[in-house]
Amino acid sequence: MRAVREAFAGAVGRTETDPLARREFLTALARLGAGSAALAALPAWARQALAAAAPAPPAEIIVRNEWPEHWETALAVLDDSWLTSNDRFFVRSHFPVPVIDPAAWRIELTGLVRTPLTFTLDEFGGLSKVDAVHVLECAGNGRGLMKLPNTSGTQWGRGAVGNARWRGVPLSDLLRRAEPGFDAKHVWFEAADEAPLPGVPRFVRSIPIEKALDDVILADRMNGDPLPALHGGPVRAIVPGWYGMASTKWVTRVRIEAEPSDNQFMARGYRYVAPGGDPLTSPPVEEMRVKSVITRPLDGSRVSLPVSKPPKRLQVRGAAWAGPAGLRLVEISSDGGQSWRPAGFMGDSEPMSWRLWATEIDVKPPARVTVMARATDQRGNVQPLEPEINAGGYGNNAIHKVTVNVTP
Amino acid sequence: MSPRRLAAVLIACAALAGAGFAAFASAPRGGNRAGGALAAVEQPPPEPPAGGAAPGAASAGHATPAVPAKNAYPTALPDSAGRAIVERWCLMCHSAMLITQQAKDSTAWEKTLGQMEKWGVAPTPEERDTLRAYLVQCFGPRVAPVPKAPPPRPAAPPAPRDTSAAPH
Repeated sequence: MRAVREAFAGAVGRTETDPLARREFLTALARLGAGSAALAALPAWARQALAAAAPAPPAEIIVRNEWPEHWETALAVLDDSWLTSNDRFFVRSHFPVPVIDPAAWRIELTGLVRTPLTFTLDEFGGLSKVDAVHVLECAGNGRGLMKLPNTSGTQWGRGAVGNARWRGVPLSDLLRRAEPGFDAKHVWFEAADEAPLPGVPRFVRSIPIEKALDDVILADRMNGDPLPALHGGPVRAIVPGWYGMASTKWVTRVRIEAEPSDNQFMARGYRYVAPGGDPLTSPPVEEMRVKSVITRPLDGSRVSLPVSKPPKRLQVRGAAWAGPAGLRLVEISSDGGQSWRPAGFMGDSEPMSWRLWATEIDVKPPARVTVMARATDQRGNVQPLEPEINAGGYGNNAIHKVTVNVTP
Repeated sequence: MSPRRLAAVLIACAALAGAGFAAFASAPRGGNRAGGALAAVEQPPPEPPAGGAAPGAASAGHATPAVPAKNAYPTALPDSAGRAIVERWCLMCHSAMLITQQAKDSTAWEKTLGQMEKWGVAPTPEERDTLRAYLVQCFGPRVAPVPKAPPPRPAAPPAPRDTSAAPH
């Protein structure tokens, strides 16, 4: 017994430097056949050791689920810069981070193609690459703010969004090499992650081949670094302008098919289902809706505006983004939405990246002021005052309001 | 099976072989936050004086104070009948937080249980009854009013001048 305990303690100790070890251990337990009974059978010391050895999320992260990781970025962090750093970028995983042996890893492109392709990690690294900055937003971002009578899934605030520079292989390059057939209409992304319970469907997403040929990349770098495992490394899809679920992490197979995937996460999950409606006939969640967040000042904060001549103004700033339509403008109101005036865009921009914006408003302290920000996309879609309710809590792009106490 | 995965399986076997069947204690990490309201996890840090900086300086401006990671919801399950069943059947795939943040009525929990059973969770009928009662009792529906249907979207305003030199 003592030997077992020491061996186990050694394994747990390894998790302090190897965040994957704990998940690997839990997954291994679940696959032993004893299933959950195996976990329940573990003594208290083992459970406590497992819990204590879990990887610690970094500062400024709001943990909304410990495992699989659902980590939200604090809005104050999003205010820092145009690019969101890798360690502060939100994390949304459906299953444990898969344990991948780089030497054995392969990615293949197969299905309705004349020339199937397979690459090792080294071969993939040697392919021609492109750089692009894109915003990724979780489809459920803001779900927790919908206040649905029955919750569903992770109750995200506003921070399941980030903007990063992705480097990878244009999927169009690989598709042209593979020569899709005339009946090739959809591109399926299959991935290495899987649930500890074998009965849970794998995570598969598909996109129309037109989108795949347009601007999708298979990314292996994020903000200049090798793509972290938490964010889908070694290779993930980046589907610009679509909600994050389309950008499948840990991709190992790209399948060209005539039909969309009928996987659980396509046919039933990620659908705009009216309460009581049928997912199978409901619209799919795809392109990101136009949205903005106020990152300064934060809701509930106190801001000092010392009396001076000329009077100082309250600086308001944030980030805004849209789907493939592109962002048109951001407007600010400090009178409850009766009047709006445009904010100015700042700094860098790339297609389907987000944009930082800022403006200043007149406030005579002491005052309690509510500021609202709304964005409009190039198709004329405007953020609504209230979320459009759907059972899954997807696509909440309601106008963000913050209330601030301004003191002299 | 990779050597690493094989090692994990062997270690798991060893741990099980030595495991007593004592009830385990849940071991929450970090600060549990009572209440579970979103507002409590977005308490703003002290604001720096505003109004002095030009808008264009924003991206290079404020240093963000390092705030430790926070758990948005309780990591421990309420201690009553049903907790051990949740630990046995639910926590292998997700943490307790995914449960402690929910607010569902009996029908919605039933739907969740049905989905999990379809995916391989297999409690006994007695366990299932206890589990459902526990979930409804501890994580029942909100008493807040149901949100109203959203008002119609306003018409698009005219585009203003872009104040930056960068392209869209």
